[in-house]
Amino acid sequence: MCDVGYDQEALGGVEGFLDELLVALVNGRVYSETHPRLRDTLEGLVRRLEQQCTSGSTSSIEVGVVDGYLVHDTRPLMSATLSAQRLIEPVARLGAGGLVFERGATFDEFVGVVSLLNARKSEQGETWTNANTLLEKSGVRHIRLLPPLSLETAAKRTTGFGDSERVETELELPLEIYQGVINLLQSVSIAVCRGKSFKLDTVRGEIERIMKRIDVDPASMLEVARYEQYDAFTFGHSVRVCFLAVIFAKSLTPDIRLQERVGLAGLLHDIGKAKVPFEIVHAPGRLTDEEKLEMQLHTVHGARTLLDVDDADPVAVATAFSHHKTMDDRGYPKTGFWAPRSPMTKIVKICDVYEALTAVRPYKPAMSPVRAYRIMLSMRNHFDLALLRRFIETNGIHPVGTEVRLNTGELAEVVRQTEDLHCPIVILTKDAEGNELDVLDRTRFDLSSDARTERWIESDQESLVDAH
Amino acid sequence: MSENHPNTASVETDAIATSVKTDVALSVPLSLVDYLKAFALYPAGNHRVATNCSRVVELVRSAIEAQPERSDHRFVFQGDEYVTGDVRVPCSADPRLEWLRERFDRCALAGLAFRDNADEESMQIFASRFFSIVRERPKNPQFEDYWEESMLGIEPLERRYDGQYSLDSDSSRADIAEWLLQGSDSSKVLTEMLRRSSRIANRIGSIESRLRQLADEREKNGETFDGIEVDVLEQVLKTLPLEALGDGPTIVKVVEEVLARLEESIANSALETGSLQLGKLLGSISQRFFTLTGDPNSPDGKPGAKPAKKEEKRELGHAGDERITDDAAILFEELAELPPWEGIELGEESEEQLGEIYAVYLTFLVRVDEQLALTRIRRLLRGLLSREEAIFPAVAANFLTWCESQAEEHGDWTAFDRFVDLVEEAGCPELLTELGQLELGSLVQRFPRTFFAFVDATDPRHNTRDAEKLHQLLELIDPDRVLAAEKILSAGIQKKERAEKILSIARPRTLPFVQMLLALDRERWMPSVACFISELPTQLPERDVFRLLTPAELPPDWIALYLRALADSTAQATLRARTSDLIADYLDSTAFDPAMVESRLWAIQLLGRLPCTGSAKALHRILGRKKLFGMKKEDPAIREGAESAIKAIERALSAGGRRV
Repeated sequence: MCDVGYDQEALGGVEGFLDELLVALVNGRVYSETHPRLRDTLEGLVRRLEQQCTSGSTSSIEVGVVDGYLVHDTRPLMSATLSAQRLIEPVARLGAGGLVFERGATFDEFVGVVSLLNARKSEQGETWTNANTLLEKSGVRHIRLLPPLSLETAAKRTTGFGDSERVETELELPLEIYQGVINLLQSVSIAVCRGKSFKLDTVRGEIERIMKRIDVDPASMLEVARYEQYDAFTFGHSVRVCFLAVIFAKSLTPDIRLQERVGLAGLLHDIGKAKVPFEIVHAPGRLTDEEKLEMQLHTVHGARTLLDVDDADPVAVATAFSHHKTMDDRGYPKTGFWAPRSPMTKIVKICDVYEALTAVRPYKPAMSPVRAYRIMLSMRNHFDLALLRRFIETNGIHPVGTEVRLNTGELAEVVRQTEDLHCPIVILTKDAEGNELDVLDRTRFDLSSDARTERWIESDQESLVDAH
Repeated sequence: MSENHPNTASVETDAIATSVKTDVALSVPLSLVDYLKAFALYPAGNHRVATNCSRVVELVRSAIEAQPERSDHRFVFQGDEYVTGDVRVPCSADPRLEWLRERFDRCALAGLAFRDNADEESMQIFASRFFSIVRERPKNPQFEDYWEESMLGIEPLERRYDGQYSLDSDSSRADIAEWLLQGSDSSKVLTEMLRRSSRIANRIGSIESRLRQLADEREKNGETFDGIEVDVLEQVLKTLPLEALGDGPTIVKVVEEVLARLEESIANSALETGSLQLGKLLGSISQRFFTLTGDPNSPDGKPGAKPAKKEEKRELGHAGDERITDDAAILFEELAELPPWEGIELGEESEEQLGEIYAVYLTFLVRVDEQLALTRIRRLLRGLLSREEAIFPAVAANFLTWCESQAEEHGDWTAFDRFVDLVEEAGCPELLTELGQLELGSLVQRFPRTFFAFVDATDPRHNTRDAEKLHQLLELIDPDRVLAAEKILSAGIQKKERAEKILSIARPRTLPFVQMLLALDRERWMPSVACFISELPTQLPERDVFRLLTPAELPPDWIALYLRALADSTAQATLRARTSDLIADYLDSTAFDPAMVESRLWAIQLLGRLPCTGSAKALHRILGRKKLFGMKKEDPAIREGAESAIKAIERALSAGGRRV
């Protein structure tokens, strides 16, 4: 998605730094600054800043906030933007244009910034200048808020969007929805961590927004979801499972209420992870047997959490509990007695595994849908096979929102499946030379119709899959 | 598999031309795979199908032209190798070869022979037939069933296991694998298959020769040696756990190894006792070999390793996934095998959904200890149970089985009790009947856990079968168990309906419950208890008081005494005295009622049957009256009755050594 000459590595480094900052902001809400979990994150931030400055030969990391996007070096940081509403919102509220982190910022200085950004409106200065004064007074010298960007600066800062027009026209609403859901999941997780309850109605409201947008344009929602590489709290995973589950549910029933419930169950299926120690959920290597058992408890924690909610949805409770159980009653949590698997759980389980296989993780690249399906088919007892078949036929081997290369060299985005799994309906996005096509030139092709003799999807799509 | 089948003779290796280079040799099968995959993915008219098809035809013709000595080009798969002419390539060299070999196997094909008249049309017929077999996945495909019809220029070559490939080639192992897969119980078949292996035959020959040598030596010494009569291969097979070895190649390998060890063992040693010792030696070798090496095919099969498990549980992202390729053609084949989509019943109302929710709640019912949460779960479960869904008993049955196993293994009945309580609370004890928990045997075994559920689910007051069952239950429960469970029973019996149901069984075994009720609230339960004892069969003569007085008229202290006397014979004297007072009072209170003459007479007779000083005094008091009851007409009869009663008392008391 980026132009030639762009320093992807540097951008990735900044994204990583911002992901860590987001983790610190969330942990800062849950733990005191002396808590090891918050300390580890803040120490990680200090190290990352130093590494980033060293590798980039710069003295600071400057991150702008433009129209709800995080921007660095004139480029939008899509992944960070999607999950960092918690960072964007206070910066925007203070009227600042962003943040600068200078080399040498210390642990205590990060504590000060996290505290400022997490502070409630009434507790902090009204403007970015007041906020900077507060930071200075508390000894923060290497981190400060940037002045608001002038229109020209903003334009300059966003020139690097490259496809800025596209961002505005196509991604704005999905982006807002995605950010809203991520933000909500962050809040819910914080509440769960603190042992507090939350309102399910708020979550239902977000699901409604998702459904409305998916009704209009599922491709753009899935595409936005795909931008996110990996987020420390796996919120992105839950959101993507939710999207997939809603889209799948739409193919199964016209009942909107049921579609919503599937979406809700998908969004909250992993909520119990908020109660599993962070270092286990995000352990870099293989888990020990004890850690595995602890991790497996997320299903019980999740169901219990959802059970304690005032207007508990039994379907979401059951799904959170059973989504790691197999059809032959293996998996976890072990209950010791057989029980049926519900259709809702079966749906969420399929979407959960599919998402996990096809998503990027720090320890693995994305897997192609075909291979993911084949692996799922090899896990026979895990799934309702007729339902899995339906999922594969609905989702396709080139799922909606996927970018595919045609035999003509053109790039296209899949917008709908057809009866022929190999030949979806696509919209051209780039010409054979790689030039972005104007909206008016984005022709739609049904590759399953007779026209396919002229255009078809190149069989080797691996490179495109890996790019995501 | 006929020896003379026209297609089979041509499989032999020496009949395959030898002048084809490896890269050229591979071009035909690889392009064939490309064509077959395109054929699977796209309609026949698709340009990719057409292009790939033409390419195969073209390559076949080139291959035939390159070997003028032959009129055809043929290739076969032998074990894990692709063979054409003198070229042998392991199938692992290219995933496409592996793909083709595996599918040829499923189609009973060893390979193909192309002639120069093979064209696009015959290729299409072949591909079509090929996929119809591949998708059908016959368990034991017979070549004749699928490939009888001829195709222009393409000759299918039958996969077969006899002839020169049948002994030591992998195909004989595959044959054995088939033998195992078919679940054949004929060890003779397997023995014969193994006997045809030259390596195995050589080993056996060598062993038998050594055994003959040993037999000769023994004979010279005038000893007997029956080791020579042993069928070595049969003995080996007897000692090996064939089913655990799993597949053909493994069996062949293990048998070879065991024979080699046996040969080694007997080469320099003397078997003293012939067959018996030989059998033992074989058993020992086989066992040691199997324990040490596990699965010889496994890379981990090294000495000291335990036998590998046949199939590890597969979890997401586990080993083995790397073998799964990104191959849409295979995916489509796999998809075609899945059951068709026939809709789904979504929503909370669906049986599976309710069953799952129910199971999750039940799990929490036993996992949660905080009172608030527990109350919440119980409420949710009660709500569910009120729906009486058909799936609930099935889930509950599994749950209860687990609860019982927990109780039996760990002595922890919490889960079971919580469930029974829940069912009770939800007002659906009949669920326990459905689950067999209210059968007499279970009730006795679980007492007092399901006792009240049974009482609630039945009505012994109005249903004679229920009454009989409760009666039987009470009879079967040891009174000590009732006493031991007093706390639980006292808590449960306080519900009026339950108490009445239990008291409706007027039998001595009910008495402990009566005592519990009186201990709980004497005043409240006395009327019910009075009714109960009035029905209770007993040998006590005081029981006849109930003919004079209704239960409501009985004074509580007398009832208490009566109950004590039932349980404790030492209390009977006190009861007797108190009863005579009671009857005397009755006689006094009815003295002037002309309608009560009969009763009074009966009361006087009763006093006669209750020999004690009190009774005698009461009777003397009656006789001392001038006008007995103010009604002359009846006086003589009453007087006579009293006198006769006094005599009876005196007789009874004097017989007991007492005087009035």
